[in-house]
Amino acid sequence: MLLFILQRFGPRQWGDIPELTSEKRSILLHTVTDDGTLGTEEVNVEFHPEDKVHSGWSLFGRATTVIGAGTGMKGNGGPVEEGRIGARGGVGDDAVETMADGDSEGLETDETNLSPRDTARGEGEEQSSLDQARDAYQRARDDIIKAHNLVLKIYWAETWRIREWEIMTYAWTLGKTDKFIRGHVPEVKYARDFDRYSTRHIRDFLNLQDDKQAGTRTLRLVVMNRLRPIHDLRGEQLWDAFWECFACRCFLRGLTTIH
Amino acid sequence: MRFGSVLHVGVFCAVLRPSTNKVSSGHYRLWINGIHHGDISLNNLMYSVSPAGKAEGVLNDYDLASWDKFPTTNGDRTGTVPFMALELLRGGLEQRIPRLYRHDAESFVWVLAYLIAITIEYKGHSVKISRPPYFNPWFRDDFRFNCMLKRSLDKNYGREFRIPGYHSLYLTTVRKLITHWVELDNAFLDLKAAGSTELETDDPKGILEGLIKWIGADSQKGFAKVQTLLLEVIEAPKVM
Repeated sequence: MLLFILQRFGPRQWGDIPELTSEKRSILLHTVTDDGTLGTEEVNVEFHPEDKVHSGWSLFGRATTVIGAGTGMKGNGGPVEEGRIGARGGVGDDAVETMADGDSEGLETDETNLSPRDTARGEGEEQSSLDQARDAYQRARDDIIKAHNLVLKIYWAETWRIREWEIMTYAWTLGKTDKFIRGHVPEVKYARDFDRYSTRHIRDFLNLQDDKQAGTRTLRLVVMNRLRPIHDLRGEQLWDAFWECFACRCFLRGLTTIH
Repeated sequence: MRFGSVLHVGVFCAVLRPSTNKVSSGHYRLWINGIHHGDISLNNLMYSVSPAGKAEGVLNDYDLASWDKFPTTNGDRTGTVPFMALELLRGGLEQRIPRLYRHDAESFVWVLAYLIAITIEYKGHSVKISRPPYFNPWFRDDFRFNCMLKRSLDKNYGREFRIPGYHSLYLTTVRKLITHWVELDNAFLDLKAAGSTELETDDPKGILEGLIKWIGADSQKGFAKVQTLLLEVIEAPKVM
């Protein structure tokens, strides 16, 4: 009986989302206005599945996937050159910008008790080749960001939570007058909820909903400016950027209420 | 106990001092109208390059954030387990410990400790992050062991594993920062052990003041700039 039911499933019943097919590579989203609402205007956002920023495929949770995107027009008005980003870095199926926390394997170097002075000793040559690889990486990243200056975040958001673009827009607004926020929060540009894929439908059908709809998720797409992972930085640059994040007044908003 | 430790434990004990009048909001410095990130992890700390070419830290990913302006009835726990605050880890996922500023601030410290210790290999446009095996339990489900390892991390930091040469400059500073937060955790544990059942008031300013005072008693590389920054943050006028 189960097989009989399953064979009647079309691609859509199997979870295929036609708006996000890799052949189409573009999707209509709404502009996020200054007050954090979605405008009626639709913008065509090009996305690039081969340019993975973060891949969190999962049957559970938010299953967040982040890929490179653009509005199809570069600063000079010309179209984005397809395939250009592969010229240096070679964006392939397994090319992910960074590995998620917990995915990395153990340190490949000696693990004995060594002091920092010991660590520094004999690292000269190794450091030189590391620096070269790092420079090449930075150049490749620059090329990618130049070609796809936005990211498209696709995830299954809990509907009881505040929409991410609302909180980000508020933070961005605070940044207009607060130098500790300005430049230290991402800029959200376009977004859309695809409620027809919401888990609300099946939960309603199976009578699983409670009053708070706490278990309901919806497919949410958010487009933001493209950022770089902080671990790309080193030394003083890393130190400064880290404490800028720490000090971000958006995060410390409570301080503004107690003067 | 070092001078800095005495200072910060004193400050934090003062923060936790039971209110003499529970009805009065004067003793209850609520963190209202605040955006609470709730998920400080390595992946959520980013940077962008300003038009002037400066790398600027960006706090990313607000899908788990909460905003007092839109309270929810769901008392969920959020965060990335490897960088979760000791108190939250001790409570386990089933306990609903109120989310406080100090929890997120502590997560920042664990991220920094990890960030300074990892090594990165570059391959084309992608990177591979390798961590010392010492950190592996952070990524497992044994929260108590994770907690235990973190509480002794300052003693082992840079000794049980190597810190990459280009970050060794900050080794001692990070070690001291970990000590600071572990001693803060001890202060809270002592209060609980003494039978305090008072609901803790969230006090980001008190936490930062404690950190600033503690930094002031230290002369480690990099701390002077941090102290100046945090002082500015505390003294800046209300925005909206």
